[in-house]
Amino acid sequence: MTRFVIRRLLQSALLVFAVMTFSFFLIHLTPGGPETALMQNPRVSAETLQRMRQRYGLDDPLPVRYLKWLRSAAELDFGRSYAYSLPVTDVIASRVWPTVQIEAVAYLVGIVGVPLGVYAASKRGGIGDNVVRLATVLGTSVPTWWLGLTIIVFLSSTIGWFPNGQGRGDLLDWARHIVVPGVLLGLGGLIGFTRFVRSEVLEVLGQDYVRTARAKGLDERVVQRAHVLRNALIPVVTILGGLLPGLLSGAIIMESIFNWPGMGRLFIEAASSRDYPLLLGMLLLGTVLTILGALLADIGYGLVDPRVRYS
Amino acid sequence: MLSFDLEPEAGATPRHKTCHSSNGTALQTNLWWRTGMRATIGRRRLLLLLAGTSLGLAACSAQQPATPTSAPAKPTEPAKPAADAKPTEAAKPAAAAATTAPAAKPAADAKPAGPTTPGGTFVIASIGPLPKNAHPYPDSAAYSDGWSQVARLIFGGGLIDQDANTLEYSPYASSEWSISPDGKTFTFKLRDGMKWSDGKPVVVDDYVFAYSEAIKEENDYVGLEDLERIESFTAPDPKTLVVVLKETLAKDVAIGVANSIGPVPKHIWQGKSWTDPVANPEILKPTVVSGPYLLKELNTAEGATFERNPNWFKGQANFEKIVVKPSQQPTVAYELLKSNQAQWAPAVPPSQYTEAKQNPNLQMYEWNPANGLYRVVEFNLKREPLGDKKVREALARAISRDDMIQVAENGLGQPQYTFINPSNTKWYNPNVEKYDFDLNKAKQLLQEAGFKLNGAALQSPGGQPVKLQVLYPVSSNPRAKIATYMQQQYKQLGIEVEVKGLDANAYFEEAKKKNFDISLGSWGGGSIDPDLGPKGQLLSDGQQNVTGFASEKVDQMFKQGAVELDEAKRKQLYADLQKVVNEELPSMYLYSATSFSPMSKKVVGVQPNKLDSLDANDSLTRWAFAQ
Repeated sequence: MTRFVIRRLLQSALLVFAVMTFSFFLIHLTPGGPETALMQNPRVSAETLQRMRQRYGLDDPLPVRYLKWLRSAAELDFGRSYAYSLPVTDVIASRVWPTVQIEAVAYLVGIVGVPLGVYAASKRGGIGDNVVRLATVLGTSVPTWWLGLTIIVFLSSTIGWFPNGQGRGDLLDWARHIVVPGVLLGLGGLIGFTRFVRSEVLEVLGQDYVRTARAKGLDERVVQRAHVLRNALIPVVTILGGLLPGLLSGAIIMESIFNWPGMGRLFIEAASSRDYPLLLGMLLLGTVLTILGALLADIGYGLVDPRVRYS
Repeated sequence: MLSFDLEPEAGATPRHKTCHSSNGTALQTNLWWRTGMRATIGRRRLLLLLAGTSLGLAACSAQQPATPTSAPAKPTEPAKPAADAKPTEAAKPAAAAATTAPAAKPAADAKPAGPTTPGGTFVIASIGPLPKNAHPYPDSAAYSDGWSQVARLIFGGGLIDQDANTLEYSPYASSEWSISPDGKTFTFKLRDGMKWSDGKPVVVDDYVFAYSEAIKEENDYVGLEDLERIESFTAPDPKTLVVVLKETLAKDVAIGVANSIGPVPKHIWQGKSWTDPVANPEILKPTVVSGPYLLKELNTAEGATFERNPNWFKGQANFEKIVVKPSQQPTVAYELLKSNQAQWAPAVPPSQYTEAKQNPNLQMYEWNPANGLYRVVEFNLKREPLGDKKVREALARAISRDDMIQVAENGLGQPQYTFINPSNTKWYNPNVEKYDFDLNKAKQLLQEAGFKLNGAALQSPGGQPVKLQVLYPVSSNPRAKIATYMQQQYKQLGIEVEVKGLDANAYFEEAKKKNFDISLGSWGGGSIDPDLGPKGQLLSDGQQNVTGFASEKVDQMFKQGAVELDEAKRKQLYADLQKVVNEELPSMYLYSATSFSPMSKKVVGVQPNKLDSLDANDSLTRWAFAQ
């Protein structure tokens, strides 16, 4: 197991390197630079722009800039955001916490899909199952940004229950602000889990060992718990790992609609102003988390499924 | 993704607008333009909006100190919540005045229309992120409309201010000022009794200190170019500031330069880093300021909170607290207003205009600012067949300004024919060739130029089918609509149009590289002086010249206009210039957008002015909640 983890970590490092290299060049090849918009200001002289380019090192050839970035990144120095003049790590740190809060709520909402899926599977073909299936199809079909705006118009503006933005007062105020965006954000996970778990459970129900368990006279509850659920939920573990990067990288659309001051909005901001250091810092964080999430899922898989052993 | 469609650029790119001045700063007078960015959804306003309010013109502000509005100097204790408020006498029933927002009526008096209550918290739902810092002399990356808005509230105006209605200059931080006969030397007497928010007096040294730091190249001040036109900035005695310019400049231009320095509290800043916010937290949140409000909190994504400055030299602002909530989505900004989570949405999308106007709780202010946003069709003269003036005229005549105002702005705009906004009456020349809509004439012109119809498709004299590409930023909804409209119109001429929408930065890049046939530009904001705005689009080496237009005559006239001291001659010069440029038709000016801004009816004392923001100058300090 240890060797497996070490090997995977080494592979992951290579992968991070490859992804960041690709991202670096892709970002710098996007038309327009951080100074492009300033050219529109008649009071900003060509000399000012030139100084700005020099300060940011934009006049170096691309490969040189890449090596420089690589070198400082290796020392965990990701540079300063152009727009904020602050270290990239500081800027990111100031935006991570709101994102963690909203994503955590979304995560909890999403997990409700597990019992819901089990319930639907156990009532297969019944009213409960049909209701769940209909709801999930509807939920998948409606774009969440539309739903978000609609909810704002009805619940926030018209009735005034759920204010926009982030709460700053007591717990109740915090909850009032977070509940709508959190639930909406978790909706995708909820639906995904429900459908996934339902089909997994149904599949396991058809397995020989379930029939065997029933044939030998085990209590139905024991069959469900020990044989069906245990096996059906194994794949869920992998999905949970895959959700890790989302916890920190944020939700661009939901954060925009609900004025949530998190990472998603920061990303848009950095991308549209071509704030290269900030953009690279955020991409690196997302890349590392994604790879780490996959690794954790693999390890978790080994833990919950005795059939899987890494050597 | 939605967010892109709706709101574009909000953030990111610095859209600067203008003038502000916070410090008067140089920028003051000038600034910005293009906006491509602004695009937004909406419109123009964004600018304002964004800024929030911007202060756009800040520097300019002016009005004499004691405007009679109720507010300021009233001794009410600041902190008292609106509750006790006796009907301060301010209450002069100025009749219906306030709320009916007569479009640009020069609102002579800003008296609130009924009893008002100084105090309370005024919440502004602005669009786009707030500034990243509140440096009094920001670098180009930090400078944005959002910055201007914050700067205006905490730093106040310059030594002199431009009145937002009369557009005349009057003293602000100075008590008197004069210009030498050669136009190069400005002498300002500093007003008595001005204090920093910590109670220390504002002294001439604070100005000289600010100048000596801002002028350093390594400090990267965005308005450095203006400061570089100053020969010397000195304080010969403790009450006097003397600014000597390197060369004679036309009056308005010279004032913009001479008035570009605002004070920085030397007793706080001296010895601290001018550029590194980690080493000098004052950059992120100045603790000692001289404007109407103190900055209590500034978080780019969450919002900003201001409290009134008890030491402001004009007395006390009415609202005890101001909160700016940035919305990423313009539609959401309006929802905040509608639900009274905010009392003012400086900019809302045109699609919400009708609803906002009908809302019984809201007052819609509408006006046509002299420095308002306008849209332009820019021809790439370096590409065939657009180098031929007949072709450009045909293309100009095939589109109708009135139709575009309807299609793109819901009817909220007025046709514009030259590089000067028609509301900028001081400089606008209406007697020019307008190239009005005339489809038959367009067809005839193409024929004269040797183009022929082959079936439904137009062919160039060389026998090639004519295809044009129209470039615009996708963040601008109105421009996307104009592009589609042009596609339909030009089809009637037999021209196939490809519309190409790009994100704002990519759009600028392509426009700069002249990688287009027709580009849809959008300009405005800033100073109303012709030397400070549109010039860069028309000079042969202008930084904003995307058309490739080059005329020695035009270059020469602009050069002359920048230094002409005789006001009448200068006016004639720019009138001629508008004519000359229109004869060449490098760009077709389409229309200037009407500004509109919904506000809660509870707020009184608001008057549209000639500039692009309701809160130009210090007017926000005179607004109040009705009782």
